Amino acid sequence: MSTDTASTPRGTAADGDHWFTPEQHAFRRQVREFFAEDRVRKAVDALAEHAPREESGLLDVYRWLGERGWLAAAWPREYGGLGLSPVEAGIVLEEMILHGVPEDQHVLSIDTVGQFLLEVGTPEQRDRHLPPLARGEQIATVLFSEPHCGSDLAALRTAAVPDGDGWRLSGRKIYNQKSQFAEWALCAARTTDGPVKYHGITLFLVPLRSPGIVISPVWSMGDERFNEIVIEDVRLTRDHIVGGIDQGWDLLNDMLLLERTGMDFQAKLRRWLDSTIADARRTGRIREPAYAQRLVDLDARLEAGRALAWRMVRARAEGRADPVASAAAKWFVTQQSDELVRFGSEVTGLDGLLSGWDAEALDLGRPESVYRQSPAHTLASGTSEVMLHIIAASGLELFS
Amino acid sequence: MSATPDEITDLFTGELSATVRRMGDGPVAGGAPPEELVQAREAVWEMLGDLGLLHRVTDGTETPQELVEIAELMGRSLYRSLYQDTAAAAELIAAHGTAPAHRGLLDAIADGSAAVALAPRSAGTDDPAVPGALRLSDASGVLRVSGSRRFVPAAHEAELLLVVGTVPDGIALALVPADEPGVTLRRQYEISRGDFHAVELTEVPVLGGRLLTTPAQAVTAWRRTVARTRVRQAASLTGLAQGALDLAVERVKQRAQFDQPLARHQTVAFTLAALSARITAVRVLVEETAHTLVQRPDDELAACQSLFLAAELARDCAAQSLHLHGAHGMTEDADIQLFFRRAAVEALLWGTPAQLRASAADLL
Ligand SMILES: Cc1cc2nc3c(=O)[nH]c(=O)nc-3n(C[C@H](O)[C@H](O)[C@H](O)COP(=O)(O)OP(=O)(O)OC[C@H]3O[C@@H](n4cnc5c(N)ncnc54)[C@H](O)[C@@H]3O)c2cc1C
Repeated sequence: MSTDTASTPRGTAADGDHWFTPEQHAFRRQVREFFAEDRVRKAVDALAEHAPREESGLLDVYRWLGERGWLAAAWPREYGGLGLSPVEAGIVLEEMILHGVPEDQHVLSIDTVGQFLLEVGTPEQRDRHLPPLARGEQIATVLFSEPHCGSDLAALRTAAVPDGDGWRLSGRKIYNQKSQFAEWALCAARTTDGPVKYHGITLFLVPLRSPGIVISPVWSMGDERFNEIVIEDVRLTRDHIVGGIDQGWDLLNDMLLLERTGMDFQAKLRRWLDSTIADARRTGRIREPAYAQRLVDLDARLEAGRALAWRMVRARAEGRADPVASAAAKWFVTQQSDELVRFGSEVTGLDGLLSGWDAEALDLGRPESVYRQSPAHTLASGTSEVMLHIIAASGLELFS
Repeated sequence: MSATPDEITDLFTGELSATVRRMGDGPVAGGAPPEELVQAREAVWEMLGDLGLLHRVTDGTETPQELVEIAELMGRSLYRSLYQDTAAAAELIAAHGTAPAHRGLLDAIADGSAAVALAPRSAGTDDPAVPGALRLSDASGVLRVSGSRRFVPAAHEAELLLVVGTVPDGIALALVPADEPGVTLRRQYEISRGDFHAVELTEVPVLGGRLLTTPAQAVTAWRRTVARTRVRQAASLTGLAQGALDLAVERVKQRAQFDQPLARHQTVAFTLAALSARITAVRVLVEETAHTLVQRPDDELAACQSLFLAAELARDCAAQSLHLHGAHGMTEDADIQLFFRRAAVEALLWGTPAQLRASAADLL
């Protein structure tokens, strides 16, 4: 196995994904050419050689994508994008991940915070924040979870208390990632107390390098640390509000439901599965039915997951996003993660569990790192149970 | 009724169990474990010696029930030691070792002053039932062994290695002192942050000047040892599953979301109940298999089946229990991630479930 080989989504090499236009196929080829460039491959290989826990902040590859307008390809040109559709943005994200470029920064800065600003931010907020994000020169993160609430986010206690023409923000946020590298974060806080916990939540864009904000690591078994952020009396004004006072809960629901396509997860799992299949070929295990049958099965499920994720992207492009199907896509794709790493480790044997610290580690310890990271998928971006709740409540109307 | 002394049960399930869990977890950034962990491990090992556990193995009085209970307790607290390997070696030595050095070694094992690490794997993909190749030579009348071994547990703490290897006329069972000059050790870094070693053997003299038994006879002897070790491993994995479940049960009672403890949400409760039912079933199968092997030591099918069911169970319990901890479960502070990482390795150590299923299919 080598780190610079990318997985080829089924059919794309032969322009087989029937729903893409010829222009979109051509766009994918261009993107692949970019990732095949020497400097890009070297930068990606250098990332793969990081010791476990040596976490990357701003990445050159992101800047290079930003220079072409590809990092946020669906954003208008004035904000650093190309004004393309979510399909082209999806192509970039998928190729990025298939080529081994870490996607967290993309998901946080572009797909979440940037997208919120694009859709509900003020013109000033967009002008100020979107271009550096689209150029890959800044990271913005997400401060939602708190020590006592994750799934039940509406129970959050971080509060913004009115103070003259602004607010003073205090509270504790946890499990956010990359905040140690970020300038700004989208923070959910309570602005109005009342009997219904879903009311009275507001989203703020918080400057992380402010006095009153202390960021500490919470070490994870994965390679990327979590952060705990203690916020004490940080002064905010109307300019920091994203999308209206007390409008936070509705915005969170609308936006997060729509953003959830499963694209990032499916591409990540596809890359792992392909490296497992490559290893099974190398060791000859692919010819043994005990391995081949399970690999074929996982391959089929990931193909379904990919088809579903692309359906979600296309639906978004056509302005008819479907929250229930989005939840199904996220649930279905991430549900494969545990089995994939486990069975992958049976293919590679104990060698695949050697970490990057070990001189004999397989593929620089990547399979081991992926194994450690795997529980994240059914937790991050809405847990599996939260997805099932959406399907049960809104799709099947079981609770009405 | 438990056949296990109370001191042992206390050690692995009482107040100390949280310390025992952390004892087997090395540093994150490679390197050797801190001295206090090493000392704590030595203290526990001495205690096991004082309680005569290995004595019962060497004199053949350990019952199948004890075998299973002790392995399960150790798995439940993630205790990492050479106990299982030493017990397996002791059984082989007791049955086949005729040289005076072998008998002396049995006494040392019985009183806890000698530990043995098993070394059958030449690569991480090897099924230990089919040991890697080994070279024997007897220039100048001294029997010597050469070869490479991987994933040898705690080789740095072992007095002896039982090197098991495929040779032209069967299987060689060669005991070698771990401190011989021809033995070099290198710590391996893996997901469970344990103490596996890569071992290179270059013309290392074999203890007592002879193999434990002839290579032809060793084929059956090793097969039986693998079957018994698989049962010990299956029991240990069942314990690991139980330990993970215990943590999840504790967590979901304490953690509230949506205005009530997670435990009150039926999906959570039923998930844990289903795991508990599976543990009960696998535990009984493993116990039955341990008894069966006394009468039918060649019943490899039952041993394979016990082990792959226990391996799947341990990984399921660890993963689902971690999931129910939420993001906290992934943090270094949460013990559940120790179970998750440990299950990854232990589930493969005595044959991967895929290998075990393939072997079982041949025997069905
Ligand atoms: C890799 C990773 C990255 C993350 N990044 C960020 C970030 O950038 N910013 C941020 O704010 N947060 C982040 N999080 C936190 C994430 O949003 C939370 O982990 C998630 O919302 C779940 O909350 P929790 O961890 O507190 O688990 P809990 O809410 O305590 O839930 C524990 C378990 O119980 C289940 N559960 C909860 N309620 C029910 C119910 N009613 N019925 C059945 N099951 C239930 C959950 O699904 C979960 O498995 C990240 C998490 C991970 C793992």
